[in-house]
Amino acid sequence: MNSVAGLEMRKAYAATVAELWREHPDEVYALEADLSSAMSTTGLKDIMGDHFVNVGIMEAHMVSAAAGINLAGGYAYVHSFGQFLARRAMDQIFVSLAYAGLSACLVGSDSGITAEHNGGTHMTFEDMGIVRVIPEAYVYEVSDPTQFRHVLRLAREHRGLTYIRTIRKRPEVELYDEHTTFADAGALVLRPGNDVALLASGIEVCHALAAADLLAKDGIEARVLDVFRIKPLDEEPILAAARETGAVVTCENHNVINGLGSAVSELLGERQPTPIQRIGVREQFGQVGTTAYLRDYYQLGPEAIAAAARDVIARRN
Amino acid sequence: MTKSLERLATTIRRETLAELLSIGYGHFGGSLSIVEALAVLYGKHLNYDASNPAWDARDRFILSKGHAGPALYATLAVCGFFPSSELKTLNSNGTSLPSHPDRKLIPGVEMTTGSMGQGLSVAAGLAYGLRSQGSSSRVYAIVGDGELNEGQCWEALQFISHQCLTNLVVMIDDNKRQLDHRRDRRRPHPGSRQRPASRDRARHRQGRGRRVPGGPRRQPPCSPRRRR
Repeated sequence: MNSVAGLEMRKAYAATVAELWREHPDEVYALEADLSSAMSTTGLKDIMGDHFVNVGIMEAHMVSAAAGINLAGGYAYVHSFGQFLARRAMDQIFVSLAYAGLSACLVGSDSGITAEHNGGTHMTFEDMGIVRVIPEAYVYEVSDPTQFRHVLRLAREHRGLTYIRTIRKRPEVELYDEHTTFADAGALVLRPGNDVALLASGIEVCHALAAADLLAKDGIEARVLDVFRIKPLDEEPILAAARETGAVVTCENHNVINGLGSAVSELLGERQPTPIQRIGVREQFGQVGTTAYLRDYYQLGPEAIAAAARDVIARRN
Repeated sequence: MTKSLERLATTIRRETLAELLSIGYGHFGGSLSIVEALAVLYGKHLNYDASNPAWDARDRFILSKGHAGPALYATLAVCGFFPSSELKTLNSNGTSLPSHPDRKLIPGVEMTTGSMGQGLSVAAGLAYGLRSQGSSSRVYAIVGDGELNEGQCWEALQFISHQCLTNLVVMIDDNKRQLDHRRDRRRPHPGSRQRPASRDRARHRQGRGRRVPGGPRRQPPCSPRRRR
């Protein structure tokens, strides 16, 4: 197994796509819409030849063209910033790919507040929600490069429509290495605990772990799960966490509507009613700022998560 | 058009009308305006095997203006992809022939279309994919003149031109009608024979590979790939 540990997420993406192309040179394509330099994929042209296509600034066309490439027997990895895929090309994702029964892996980068100085036009808090409503779509938010590589490989294996949300740079904490066994899991327990469950995805996973440290100082043992597959949810570890802790906090760098918090609420509401608090963006647009500033502005950091945990524990009691 | 193609067109037209009249509604105009094109494609130019619709070496046809599905269905039935009796199920509950074609439901439909503009991009991606895999198959697409209002068509046409997709043939159904009105003459589609503004005229003609009086002779930007 080729390790991508220690790489920026974008470099892990480029390395994995190149790896997949070497394994399946007739099948794997990579498409960009003029954000190749931003995603560190410019080198793929030399590696993949005409299986790498930078179409220009035309995301809607890129998504439909990926469907055409699939009709020709190929499988395309399609990258743009998340909002240019999910917001801008929703109908193409829905009709050209999903409804037509065709396959591609869409990678939406610069998730949420990590769009930083590109500001509100580029800051997507709704991309997972937009794709999550599409029947049979797989939706992931990855938290580190090793996991990203695993999910990219998985997407090609299970076909259909996959949307992967990611940051472009290095995560604050790397959680996995080449010895990690993901198997079919969509949620992994990173820290044991039976007082409250913190279910997080993407950059919020490291904040949930930091929140667990804060709570431990008060004698509260928080179970932390990296829920990297938003759809379909890996139900058993989530139901077990709800059943065994009786108090759940979801943490996402996304709107609380139709992302991780909604997905978990829907599952628990039907199967395991449990007090829940959702950390995420509420009725707000994005704006320019550093990740640290925006994390505090939108109340996405460890302190906010710990406070939500205390609230939900009080509601349980 | 040869006599045999005219007869094929007449059969397709009759079947299309019967199909639409059996339900009493639908896109009559948009369907009938592509009948001759479909007859020429399926009767002369397309390589296909109706008994083996997934034949690898076949040419592909994508009906980007998916609302003309009834004409495509009639053509496929006449050409032997499925029995003509199926045509009477158009738009009925549980049918394999929805108003807009669905590739998952019926043999011979290469792509699901109906959301305007997308079929042209899919055809471009398909042509690109086939070419990069060394296939000599061609891709044909019909887009509507009204459909060319869609911005995505402009994206696709730029891509087709830039990638020199000479294995793709795009036909514009210039029927001058769209749902609410005649196509606006003040807003001609990108493929029209609109006269460019005078200062751009020389450049326009050069781009089409024609000699500009007093100027150098230029070749078209794409050299057509040799047909198999």
